[in-house]
Amino acid sequence: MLFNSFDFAVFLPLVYLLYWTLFQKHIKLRNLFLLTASYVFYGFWDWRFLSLILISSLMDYILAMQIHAAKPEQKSKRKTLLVLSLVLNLGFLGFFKYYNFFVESFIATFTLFGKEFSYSPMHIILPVGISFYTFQSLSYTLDVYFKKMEPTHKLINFLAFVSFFPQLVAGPIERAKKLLPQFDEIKSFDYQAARSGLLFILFGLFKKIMIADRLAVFINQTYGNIEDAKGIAMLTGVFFFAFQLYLDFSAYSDIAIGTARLFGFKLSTNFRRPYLSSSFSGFWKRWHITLSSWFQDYIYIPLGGNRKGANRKIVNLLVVFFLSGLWHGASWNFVIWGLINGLFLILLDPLFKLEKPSGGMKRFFAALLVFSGWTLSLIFFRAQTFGDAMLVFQNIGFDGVQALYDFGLNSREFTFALWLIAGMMVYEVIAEKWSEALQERFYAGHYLLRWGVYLILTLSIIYLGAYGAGNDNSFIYFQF
Amino acid sequence: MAKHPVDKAKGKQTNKVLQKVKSHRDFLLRVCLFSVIIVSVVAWTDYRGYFNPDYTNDHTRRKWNAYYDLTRKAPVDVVMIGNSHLYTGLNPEHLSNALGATCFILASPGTTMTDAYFTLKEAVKVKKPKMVILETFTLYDYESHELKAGALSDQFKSFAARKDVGQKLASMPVLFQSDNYLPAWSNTIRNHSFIFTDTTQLKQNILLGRQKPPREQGLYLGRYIRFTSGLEENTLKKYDEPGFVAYNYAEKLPGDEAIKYLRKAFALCKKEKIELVLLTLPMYHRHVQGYETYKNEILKAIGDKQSWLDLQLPYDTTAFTPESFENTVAPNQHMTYQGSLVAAYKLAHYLHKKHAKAIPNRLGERKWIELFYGSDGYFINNSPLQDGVSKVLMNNVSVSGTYELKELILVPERGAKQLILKLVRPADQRAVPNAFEVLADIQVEKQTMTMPVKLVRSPVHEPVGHLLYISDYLHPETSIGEIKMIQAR
Repeated sequence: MLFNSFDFAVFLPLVYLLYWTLFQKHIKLRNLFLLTASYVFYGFWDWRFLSLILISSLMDYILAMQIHAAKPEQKSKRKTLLVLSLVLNLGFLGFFKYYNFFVESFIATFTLFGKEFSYSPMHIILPVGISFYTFQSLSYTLDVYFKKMEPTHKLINFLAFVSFFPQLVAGPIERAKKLLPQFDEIKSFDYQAARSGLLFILFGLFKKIMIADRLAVFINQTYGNIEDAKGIAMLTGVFFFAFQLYLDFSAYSDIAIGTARLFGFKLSTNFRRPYLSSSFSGFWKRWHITLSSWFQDYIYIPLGGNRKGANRKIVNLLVVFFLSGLWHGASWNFVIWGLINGLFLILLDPLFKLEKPSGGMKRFFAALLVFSGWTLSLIFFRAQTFGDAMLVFQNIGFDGVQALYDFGLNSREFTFALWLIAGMMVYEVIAEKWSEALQERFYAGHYLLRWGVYLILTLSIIYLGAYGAGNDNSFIYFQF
Repeated sequence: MAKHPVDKAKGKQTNKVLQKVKSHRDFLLRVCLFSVIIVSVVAWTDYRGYFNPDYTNDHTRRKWNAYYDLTRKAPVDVVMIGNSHLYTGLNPEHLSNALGATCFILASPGTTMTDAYFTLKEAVKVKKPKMVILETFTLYDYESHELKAGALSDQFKSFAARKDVGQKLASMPVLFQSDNYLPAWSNTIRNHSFIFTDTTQLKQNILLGRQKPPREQGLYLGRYIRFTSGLEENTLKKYDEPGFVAYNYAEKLPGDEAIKYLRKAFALCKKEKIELVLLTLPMYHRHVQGYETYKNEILKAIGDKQSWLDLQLPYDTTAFTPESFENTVAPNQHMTYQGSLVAAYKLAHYLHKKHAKAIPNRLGERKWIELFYGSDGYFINNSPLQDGVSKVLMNNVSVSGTYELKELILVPERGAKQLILKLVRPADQRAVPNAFEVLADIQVEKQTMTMPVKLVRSPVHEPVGHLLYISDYLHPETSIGEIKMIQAR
C-alpha cells in the first residue's frame, strides 16, 4: 500500500479510529491490532511475502533470547547464534535481492578468462522493503549480542516492532532500543503530536505529489531516451533527479513520521536538509540518517572506525560506502555510486577543508561543491547500466534550450517545477536557521494562519499536483 | 539552535493551554471540518464544470444524454453496444428506417466488454429494448484494473457519462483499481492538469460557467461520421509488402474477463427477455489475420447457437470494397460512412431474416415517422410521396438534360423548413457540382416573390447511388409554388 494511494487514505483513518477507540487501553490488544494492521498494510502489496517477515522476525526473536541466555563464558555459542542470525537474515536478502546479480557477476568474471557459461536468470520477485526490515531486525540481535539492550520476551511487541507499518517498507530504519520500548508504553492522546503528525503527512504529500512526481515526468523522459536527451535537457534531467530523489524519499520519511505520531510513536529523523551541507561527511549526517548511522554502528566502528590509523580509516570508509551502494541495489552502478561518494568524502573534504568552512560565501561554495559532486554521482544511481551512465556524461551540455520542453513538461509546467524547487530551497535555508522558532510561532499563531496553510497545501496538491493516469507515483526507495 | 527565551515561554504557555482544552474529540471535529471544506471545494469546481472536457468531442456523454432524452419521447427498440468501431461503422438512421424500428448506438470509444456490460445494464434499466446488439471488438485480452493511459481515459469517460449513481457505484470496483475511484467520479481530479495543459478549455469553462450541455437538435441515434474517404492505392500497396500484418486477431484472443462479462450480458438479456445478437463489423479483409482462431475462441466460450452476424468471416468482397474502410494500415481500422451504410443494410437484412418477430414494425406509426424527417436514410426507405408531410415539388424529371432529378421536396425540419434535392448519381465519372440553385415562387407570410435558393451538396447524407443537396433553413411558414429553373452552380 502506497502512502499516496486511495487505499491508504481509507486504511489510515480506519486504523486510527479503531486504535484510539477500541484498543487504546489494552496494551497487548493494541499491539496485536497494530501488528494485524501492519500485516494488512504489507499484504496489500503481496500477502505471500508476509511469511518472510514472520519467519525473519521469529528467528531473530528466538536467537536474541538464546544469545542473551548464553552464559558470558559461552562466547563461541553466542557468536554462533549471532552468525546464524546474520546468515539467515542476509541469506534471505541475498537470495531475493542479489542472487541473479552475484551469479551474473561470477559468470562475467569467468568470461573474462575465456570460460563460457550459459545461464538464464531466475525470475525472483523482490519483496518490498526487505532491505529495510532486515536491517531493522538485524540491529536487534546485534544490539543484544553487544549487550546494548536486553531482548524482549513479548513476541507480539517484537513482531509489531519489525513490521510497524508507517516505516515498514522504506524506513526510517529504527533501532530496537528506541522503538521497541514504545510498544510497552500506555498511550494517551496528545493533541499536539497528532496535529504535527498530520502536518508532517501533508507536507510529505506536498513534496511527493507537487514536486517529486512532477520532476519524475521529465527525468523518466530524459533517462528513458538518453540518445535524444542532449545538452541542457540531459543536464536538467540530472539536476532534477537530485531533487526528485531527496523530495521523494524525505516525503516518505515525513509521512512515516507523521503517521507514527498519530498513533503516539516517535520515529527518528531521516533527513536534515542535506543540500545545505558544506562537507561530504556532513552530508552523510543529514542524508538517510538512519541508514548511515546503521552502517556506522554495525560496520564502520566494529571495523575499527578511525581508531586504527589513517589508512585503515580510508579502507573502512570504502568498505562502508561499497556496502551502502550494494544495499541500494543489485547492480554495479550502485556500487560505483557508493564508492564515488566514499572517495569524495575521503579526498575532497580534506583537500578543500570542507569540514570547517568559515564565512558565508565559503560555506555557500562548499555546499555548491558538495551538491554538484552528489548530483553527478547520482547519474550512476539513476542510469540503468554503466553504458547509459557514460552516455549521460557525454550528453550533458548547455546547448539545445529549444528542446527543453520536449520531455514531458510543457513550458508552463517546467517553469512551475523550477519555482517549486527554488521555493523548497528557500524554505530549507530558513528552516536551517529558525526551524524551531518557526514551528513555535506557527502553532502559537492565529488559527486562520494555520488553517490557511493547511488549506493551501491540500488544495495545491489537488489542483496542481502531478498525479493521475500516466504518472508514475511509486516511491523510489520502494525498489530497495 | 537555541530557542529564543520568548519563543520558549510562548511555546510552554501554548502547550499548557492546548493540553487543557484540546481533546481527541476536538481533533476529530477539526479533521472532519477540514475534510468537508476540501470536499466542498472540489465538489463546487465539479459542479461548475471547470474541468469538463470539450462536450462536442465527448461522444459518450452526448450519446447517454441523447439516449435518456429519446427514451422519454419514443421507444428504443434496438440498443447497440460496442466501441468506436460500432459508432463509426454502422449507420443507425439507415438501420432504423430499414427495420421500421428505433435503433440506438450506445457505444464508447475504446470500451471493453466489462464496460459494455455495465453500459448495457444501465440502458436496460432506463428503458428495456426489444433487442440488444453487441459488437465483438470489445472482446480482447484485458484486465480492467490494468488499463493504462488511453484505454483508461476512455473508461473514465464512459463511466462519467453514465447517470445512474447506484449502478455506477456497483460497477466502480470492477472497472477501476482503487486509486482511480476519485478520478472516475470527479472531473476536477481527473482533469486537474488542464491548468498546465489546456488553459483554453479551462478558461472557456470558467467563462461559460455552469451550463447544461446542449441537447441534440435533430434526430441523433449515436452515429459519428469520422471517415468519408476509403483506402487509397498507396495504402493498399502496403498490404503487398512481404510479412505485413496490420492486425493479428490471433494475438488478441478474448481474455477471461471479457468472456466473463460477455456471459453476464447473455444472462442479463435472458433474464430480461431481450434478444441478443452478436455483430462483428469488418476490417478490410487484407488488414486482418488469425480471425478464425479468434472466432473459435469465442465460440468455444459461448457455443454455436448464439445469433451472430459476422461480417468479417465470411467476408463479402463485393459489398465491402476498399472504399468501405478508413485509409490506414494502423491496427485499429474503422469503417467509412459508405461502409457504415453497407453494414447497416446487411444487418437489417439479417434481422429481417432471423429476428423478424422480435422487432416491431413502426413504419405505420405517424409519431415514429416524424422522428425521421430529414434524417439520413429516410428517402431510401420511405417515399416522401406517401408520408403526407413532405411536399414533393418535382420528381423524376431531367435537369438541363444532364442530371436525373429523383425528388425535389420541401420538408419540415427542426422547427423550420428545408428544400432538399435528390439526384441520381451519374454513371460516368464526371465531376459533380457542389451546389445547385433553384429559382422558384416562394411565399412567406402571404408575400410571394420569385427568388433563388441555394442548395449545397451534403455527401455524408447521400444514399447509395444518389447525390443530395440541402438548402439552409427556411422560414417555417414557407411554401413554394412554381419552380422556374434549376441549375448547377
